[in-house]
Amino acid sequence: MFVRRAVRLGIVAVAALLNLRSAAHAGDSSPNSDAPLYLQIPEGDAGTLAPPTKGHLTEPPAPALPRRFSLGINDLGGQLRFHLNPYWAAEGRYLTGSTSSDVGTVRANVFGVRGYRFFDKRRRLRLYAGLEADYVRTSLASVDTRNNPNSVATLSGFGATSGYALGGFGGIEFRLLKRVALDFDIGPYMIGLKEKVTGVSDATLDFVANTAINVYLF
Amino acid sequence: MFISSNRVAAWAAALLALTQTPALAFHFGLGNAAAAQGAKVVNKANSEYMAEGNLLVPALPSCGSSMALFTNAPVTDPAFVSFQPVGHVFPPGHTFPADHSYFNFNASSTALEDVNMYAPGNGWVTQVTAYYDNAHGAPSFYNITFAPCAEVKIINLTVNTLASALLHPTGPASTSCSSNTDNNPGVVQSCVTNMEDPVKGGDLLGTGGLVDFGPIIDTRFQISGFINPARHVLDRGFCPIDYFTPNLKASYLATIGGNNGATLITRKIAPLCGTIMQDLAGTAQGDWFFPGASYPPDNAHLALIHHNVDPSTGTFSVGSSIPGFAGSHDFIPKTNSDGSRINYDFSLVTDQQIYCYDTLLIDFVYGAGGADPNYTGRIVLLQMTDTSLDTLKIELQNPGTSCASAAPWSFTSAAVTFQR
Repeated sequence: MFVRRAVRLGIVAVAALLNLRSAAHAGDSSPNSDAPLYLQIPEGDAGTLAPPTKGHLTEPPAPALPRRFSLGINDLGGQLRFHLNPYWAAEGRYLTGSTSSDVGTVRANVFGVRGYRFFDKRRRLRLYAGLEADYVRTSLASVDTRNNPNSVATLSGFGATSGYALGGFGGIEFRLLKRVALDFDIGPYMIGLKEKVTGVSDATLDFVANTAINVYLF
Repeated sequence: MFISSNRVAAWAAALLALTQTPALAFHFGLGNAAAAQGAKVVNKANSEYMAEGNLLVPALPSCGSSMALFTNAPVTDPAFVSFQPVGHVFPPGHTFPADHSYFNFNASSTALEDVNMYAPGNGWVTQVTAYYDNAHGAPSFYNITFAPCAEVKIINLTVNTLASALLHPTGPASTSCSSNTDNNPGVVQSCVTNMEDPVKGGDLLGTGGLVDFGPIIDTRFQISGFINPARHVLDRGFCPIDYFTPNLKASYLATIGGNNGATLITRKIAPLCGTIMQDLAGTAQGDWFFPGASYPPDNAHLALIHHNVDPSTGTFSVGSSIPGFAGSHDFIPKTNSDGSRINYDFSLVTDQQIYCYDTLLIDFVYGAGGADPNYTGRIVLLQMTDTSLDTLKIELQNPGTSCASAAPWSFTSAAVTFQR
C-alpha cells in the first residue's frame, strides 16, 4: 500500500522536477536572460555585414572554464565529485552514521556513487537531481546483553550486516564563495541489509536528506 | 528566469508530501539512515533468534505477563514431602541466601534413586550438562535447564539418569566438553549440550539425584532492595513456587518448609517461599562482602540474616574469611532493644557501637538443634565502623564466658572487616 503511494508521490516529484527543468530551458530565450549576445553572420546573400557606426567590435567573452573536481565534506563523511561538463557530474562518496539498537550501538559505513544532473545557475543557486547507489556495511558495538543472557547478540560476529542503498534525490547548491558551495538534497532511498549470523534481512524505503560543503578545486 | 518561486514551492511541496507518507521514516544523512536500517535488522534478528550457549536457535515465545507457567508437578513420587523456601544457607558454597529451592524427601537414598522428575510445564529443554567423575565413564549426573518461554527458565534441575528423549534431541544441538566442574566434588569433566528440545508438561526429564529446584531466572523482573545492587544478579533467585498454577502453588505453599529427618517444619512467616534479599539499610542485617574477594562464589563473604524456614531465628552465615568462625550458626535474637546490645536481632544493630552474641545454636533443620557445643563460652562481636554504616567489623572471641560477663568488649587484631 505504502509503496504504491510512494510511487505515486514519486511521480509527482519527478513531474515537478521536469516542469522546473523545462521552465529553466524556456528561460534561455527570455529577454531578461543573462546570456551574452553574439554577432550573427547572415547566410548567403541575405544581407551585408556592416561595421557599427559607433564603437568597435569585440570578441565575445570566453566561457568560464569548468572546475572539474570538487572535494566535499558531507554528513560524517567525504566525497569527491567530477564534473563531466557544466550539467553532468559523477561522485564517489563515503558516509558514516550510528544509532542505538536493542543490544548495542550500530555503526554504519556507506560507500557509494552518485550521478548528478545540474540545471542552470541563477545567481548563487543551482538545482540538481540525480541517482545514487551504495554498498552499506554495519557493525554492532558496545553490546549489552545484561537483560537477556540468551540474546543472540552473545554470539560471536552477531550484528554485522551488509547490503545496499539505492535512491534518487533532488536538491540545491548554494555557492557560498567562488570555490565553495553548500549542497542540500533530499530523496527516497531503498536500504536493504542482511545480518550475517542469522541471515535475517530487511529492506525499507526511507526519506533521506543529505548536506555537504564542496570545495571546487580545479 | 530559471527558477520561479512557484515551481520551487511546488517541488518542495511534492517532497514534503513524500516525507509525510506514514510508512516512510526520515533520516538526516545516508550514514544515519543506514545505521537505522542496521539497527532495525539487528532488532529483528534479536527478536527472531536467541542463543543457547554458542547455538543459534529460534527465539522462544514471550512469557508476556503470565506467572502460571508450571502446570505440572515436577515430582509425583510419594517420597516427596515439600519444597524448601529459597534463602537456605550452607557456607561456604551458599554463604548468601541460596537463590533456589530444594526438594524435601522422606525416603532412603536408595529409594530416591527411582524418583522421576517431570517437566513442570510445556516448554523447551535448552541445556543439559553431563558431569563425569571419570572422563572415560558414563556421566555421574546431569543438570537440566527448562524454559517455558523466552524470559523465564529454571536451571540446575539435577538427575542421575537422563530421559532418553533428551539424550537424542530432535532439533539442532551443540556439545562442548571441558574440565569445568562447577564446584561439584569428584567431578573431573563436564559436557554442555545446548539445544532447544520441546517437551510437554509431565514429560519425563530424568530419574534420581533430585536436589535443587531452581534457581529461577526471570528477565521480566528485578529483585529490589539490595543495598549494593551492582554486586548481585537481580533477575535470578525468584521463588519457583510462584510459577505454578494457582492450585499447585497453594498446595506447595501449604507444606513449604524444612525436613528435619522425618519431621516437616513448615515456614509460617511471610513470604512463605522465602527470599534471597535480606539487606536492611542502616542496620547490620543482610549480605556483607569481604574486600577484594570475587563474587560469585559466596565463599569469602558473610551474611547476617534470618533462617529460611523459621525467620524468627537469626543466622550467622560465615564463609572462610573469619579466623575460627565458619559455617551457619543460629541464635534466638532479641527483637526489642533492652540496652544490653547482647543477641540483638541484626535489624536492631543500627549504630557504631559494639554488639555481642553468645549461645550459638546448631541449625535446627539439618541438625539436632540446641546449643552448639563447639561454641560454648565463645562470643561474637560486631560493629559497624563508619557513619554510613556500610563497613562491618566482626570477630569470634573465646573468653570462656557469656557476653554479659565478658563486657566491656573490644576487638583484637583478629577482627575482620566486611563491606556492603
